[in-house]
Amino acid sequence: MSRHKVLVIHALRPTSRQTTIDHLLAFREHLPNADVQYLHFAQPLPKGMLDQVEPDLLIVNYDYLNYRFTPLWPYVKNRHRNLARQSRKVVAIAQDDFWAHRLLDNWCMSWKVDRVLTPIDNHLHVLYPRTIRRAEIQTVLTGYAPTSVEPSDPLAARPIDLGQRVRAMPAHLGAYAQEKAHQTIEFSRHVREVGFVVNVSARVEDGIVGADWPKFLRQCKFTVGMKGGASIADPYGLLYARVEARGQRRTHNHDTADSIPFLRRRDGRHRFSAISPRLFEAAAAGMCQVLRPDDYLGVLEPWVHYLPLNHDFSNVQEVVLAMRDLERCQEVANNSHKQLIDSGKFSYRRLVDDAVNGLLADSPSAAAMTWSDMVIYLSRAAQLCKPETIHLHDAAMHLIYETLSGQHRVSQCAKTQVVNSISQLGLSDWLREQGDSSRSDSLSWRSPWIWRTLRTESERNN
Amino acid sequence: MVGVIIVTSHDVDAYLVTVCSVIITSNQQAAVKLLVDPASHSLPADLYAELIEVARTRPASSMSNVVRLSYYLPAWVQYIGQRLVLLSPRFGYWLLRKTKLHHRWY
Repeated sequence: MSRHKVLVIHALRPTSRQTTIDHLLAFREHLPNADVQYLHFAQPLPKGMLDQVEPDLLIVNYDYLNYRFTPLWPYVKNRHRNLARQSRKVVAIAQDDFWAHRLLDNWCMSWKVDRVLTPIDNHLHVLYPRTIRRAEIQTVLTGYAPTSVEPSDPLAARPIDLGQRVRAMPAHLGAYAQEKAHQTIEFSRHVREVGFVVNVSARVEDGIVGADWPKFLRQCKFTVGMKGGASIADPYGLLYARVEARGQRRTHNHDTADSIPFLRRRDGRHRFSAISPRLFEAAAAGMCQVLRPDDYLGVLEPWVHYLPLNHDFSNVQEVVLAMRDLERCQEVANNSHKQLIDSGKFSYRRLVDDAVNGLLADSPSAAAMTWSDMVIYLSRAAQLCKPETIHLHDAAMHLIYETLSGQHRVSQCAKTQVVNSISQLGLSDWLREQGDSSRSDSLSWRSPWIWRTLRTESERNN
Repeated sequence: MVGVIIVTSHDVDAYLVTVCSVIITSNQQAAVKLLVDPASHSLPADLYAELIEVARTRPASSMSNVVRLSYYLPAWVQYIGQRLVLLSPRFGYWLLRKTKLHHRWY
């Protein structure tokens, strides 16, 4: 019996967060009766393969859609447009909708998207003025409870008191978007002063990616956070360009929305907010969370599931005092773990159900030869994506791209090192095949991004 | 944005391969950061020399006049300009490489 063919387009990068990887893998895990395949948008494919693939459902992940912020977006979105036309149904999973939302809205119309999943539940007519008339728009979360949770040490045994990584947002999304980083840095300053061990940073280069992130969280007792979002909508990303240029001209980029006239008059017209995936990651790691009082899915209560930190820091002393009582904090962490993780209410199954319910037709389309060819090709391409060789995958791709670009001479010693490492793993044929595919797919190697295949459980076992 | 320089494992092979990535892509900013790390002193001599060469000679994107000039243009001119450049993929690609902006996405 043939199975439904589901194709997920993603844009995994070397710096992708573990949440994004979990998010993608959920589709294969929770759709056991469908043949779920993952395709990186920049991954080279043999000529003609893409034009003949006809999935029953095409799911476009948010990391792909986030390329709308880049100048190459017109190329990126046209690359798979035929695939969308050949698919029976198209689902888009959006995030940061308020940033370049007009581009997103136009894309939804051009790909004839049937369902949009977004973490935003208000002002949707502002964000999707065209799509809202033809597609179904559904609210989802930005992250869910991880499927497998590793046991973690009790709070008292953890070496770091406060741990967090935040992104210092540029001012173009308004004061609300900048508050998260501000709150984190301010709070970490407070607790450092009173002797806590702090590992907090807002610098991109301090980012912790992949499987190292949950490991880091399990070493920390507390984390601090709030809902993410924006108080300005930036329809085409032009506000971002203006803020960026202003920062460069003035050789600093620490403006706030209040200090820039063209942002000040726009700020606060809307307030888009969404729960951060960090809420679930921290609960899964058994951390005690310090959060701004808010509605967290209607299930978290202050002092029971988290320590509430007021927006003006008026109760910071009270929170710091509570942090010294590890027994009580352990109880708060356990309560939050029970509510968010053990309850099973917020598992990735919920996302998958929201994405596919009612969209998979009763009878799957007949399995075409091209689909199985693509499945074999993709699984072969995933060979080098084991955690221990992932760096080699990226280096090999760099080598192919730089050799094809011919911009300058590629260093012989670096090239030899990479080729030797590949051949030690018996993957010389793979390298040759990828080189050939890239050569015939100029858009792939001309784009500046290194693609990554998602290595799934079944491929790991093969 | 410079993903390849985030060395999460101290595995020597992974480190060597990371250094190779930086050399192959002539990523000056990443090369400078790798050289600050004391682990770079244990690299093979030829790779170390190449790394220093990359750090010394290849320009970073912030040094590009095209990038600098764009900061003095109104945002809508930048937006239209980016899309006009893309009418010619070859030119767009050449410009991206020339200004080293492609490193921001590695």
